[in-house]
Formats: sequence, structure tokens, C-alpha cells
Amino acid sequence: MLNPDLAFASAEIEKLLGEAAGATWTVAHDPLWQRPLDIERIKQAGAASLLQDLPGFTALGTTQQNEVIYHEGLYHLNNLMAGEHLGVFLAAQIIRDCPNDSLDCAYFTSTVLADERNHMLVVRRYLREQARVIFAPNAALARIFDELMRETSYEVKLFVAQLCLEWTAVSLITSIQFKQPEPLLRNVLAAIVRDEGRHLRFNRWVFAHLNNARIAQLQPRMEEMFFEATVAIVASFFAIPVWQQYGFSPDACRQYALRDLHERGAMRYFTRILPRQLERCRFKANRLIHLLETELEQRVINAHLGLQPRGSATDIPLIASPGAIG
Amino acid sequence: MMRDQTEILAKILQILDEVCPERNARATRSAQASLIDDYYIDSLKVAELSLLLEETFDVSVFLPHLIASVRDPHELTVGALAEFVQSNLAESV
Repeated sequence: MLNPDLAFASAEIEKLLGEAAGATWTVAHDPLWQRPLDIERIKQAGAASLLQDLPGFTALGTTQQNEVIYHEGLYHLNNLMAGEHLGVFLAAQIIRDCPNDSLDCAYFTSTVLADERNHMLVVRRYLREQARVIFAPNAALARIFDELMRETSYEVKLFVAQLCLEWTAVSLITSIQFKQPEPLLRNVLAAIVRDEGRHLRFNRWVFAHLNNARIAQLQPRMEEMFFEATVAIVASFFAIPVWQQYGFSPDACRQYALRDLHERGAMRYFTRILPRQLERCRFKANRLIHLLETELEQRVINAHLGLQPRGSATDIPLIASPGAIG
Repeated sequence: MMRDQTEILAKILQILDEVCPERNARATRSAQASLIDDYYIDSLKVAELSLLLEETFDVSVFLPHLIASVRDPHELTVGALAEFVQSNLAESV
């Protein structure tokens, strides 16, 4: 319904929308696209793998180890691309379902939609033209994406997609740049991150303006979906399609990767710290924290046992050459 | 709401002590300290630090934005982080 006033309720969102509209998306014209990737430089980056203590991994030479790590990074980029793709469709649903008594939510979400489209296309181009490696998205992530598309509350879609899944993915992947000085990928991620900073401010505004009755109404579903999203995030750390390509047993990989996640403090982060995103948006997180502490690990294992195809790398065409991409 | 640069810096150093208990023994606890070389910030700590800074200053803080804004992340210092938080606070007014 057309509101004849066409007003913004928030000056902050109006300003943010102006920033988004004026932001230039130049990374698609970066001259680095014309240069081949410096694979040798990438392979000397020295990031760590979750398999670093697996005997089969430690037996590899440094070059081979770095090759595995490089492909793990590409697997995570493929998952990011899948999330950005979903973000386009979720943003469209949010525009349809959010309040339209002011311009704030629908109009700002229209910039989110355009941003997610740009992100998806640029990551897709990077993976196809530069890295030339495509993986299917992690099955647990694909499942939570499907569930979000069926979700009826626009607030749950916004929170889980933006503050849980995308915030975490971009935070973790961007930080990989600490040790991964590949200049084109760095520029691509920098462009994505610039937009995500605006999305974060918008999301905080939406949840600061929900009334208490709506917060109480959404509480159970929010915790439930947050839990499922966290399972999917942790499950997606397990780059099993990559590990299978190198002939590692998925069962051994799961065991060593879980141990490594504990040692790095990742499990503590996902059970104790990440739920505070919910509290920042004025939801309670006690039940969620309990659920994460008692069930997260087993659910991550189940996610792989139930959803990941099992078998040797040669059985499953999980990595496709660019020529095979549809 | 906190605005003073010294107060912001003191609070950030306190948060860094919590997030990064292991610190380069030779590093000084100051604005000049490097987030990567002295505080050993990694990807998980970036995410945790973002959340803690948001809670403390009650403003959106998306740390990857700061990281992506520099050519070499090793140049990121505690002082640069304090300036970033201060600019986010100014924008939220």
C-alpha cells in the first residue's frame, strides 16, 4: 500500500540509505582480474588447517599442506557465495513482509538485496575465473537456508541470515586475510565488508525498535533457529569434500577437526560468545546457551553423518572443473 | 556514552586483556601495540572482540571493516582500533 507521506521514521536509517546509494562498487573493474593468481605466493601463506594434527596431514610436505589449506579456503568461499545468493532472495521476502508504515525497513533492505547480489556475483566470478574451483555448499548450510526461506517472520530471517550466518562468515573469512595476502581476494572481501558494516547498523536499528511483546513472541523461534544456524556454521568448518579429495578418511578428519576447534577456543566461542548476539538484540539466550553446551557437538557430527555423502574422493565429483560448471 | 579518546583506549586495553590473555612479553600495553604481532589476534578473536566492543560502547562495531581498510593488517594498532571505535560512536549520534 502506498503511504502518501513516504517518510523515514529514523534519520539514521535515511542517512545510511544515502550512504548505500552513493557507495561505488568498483571491485568488478579491478585491474587485478586481468592477472593470473600467484598460486605459489598463496601456497606460502602459512595459515593453519583443522587437520594440522592428523597423521596423514602431518606426513605431507609443506607445499602439499598449503595446497590443502588453500582449497579449504576456497571451500569456505563457496559457502560464503551460497549465503550471499540466499541473501538476495531473503531480502526480497523481507521487503515483502516487513512493516511499510515508513520507508526505513523496506527501502534499506532493497540496498541489502543489491549488495548481496553484487557480493554473490563477484565471489562467483573469483571462484570461476581466478580460482577455477567450485564446491557444492555444505549440506548443513543448505538445509538452514531452505528453512529460512520457509520462515514466516521477517525478523527471524533478518537476524539469522544477517547477524548469525553472514556476520560470522564475513568476520571469520575476512580475518583469514591476516595470513592470506592474495591481493584480488583481499580487495573483493574488503568491498563486501564495507557493505556489511552498513547492514550491521541497520540490523541493530531494527531490533532496537521491536516492542517487548514482539520480542517475547519471537523468543522461542529465534533461539531455535539460532541453534540450528550455529550447528550449520560449525558443520561448515569441516571441509570434508576437500579432505576427501586428498584421500583423508572423513571419520578421522571429523575427530581431529573437532579436537582442533576445541583447542583453538572455537567451541567456547560458539557456545558462550556468539549467543550474545541474541542478547544484543534484547532476546534472552540462557536456554540457547544450555542447548549449545549440551548438544552442539553431537548435532555437528550428526549433520555430517546424515547429510554428507560418504565414499572416496573419486566416487564423488564434489570439485568440478570450470568446464563442468553449468 | 563514552567519547573521550583516553577513556576509550583504556577500555579497549581492558577488553584486549580479556580476549587475548596471551600477549607478546616484549609488547607494551599501549596505543602503539600491534593487534596481530603483540596481541596475536586471529579470526575468532576478531569476532569476539567485535561483540565485546559493541556491548561496551553500545554502538555497532564491525571489526573486519577496520581490517579491510588497511593494506597490511600487521600495521593495525590498538590506537587505530580506538580511533575506529570513536568514529563509530560519532556516526551513531
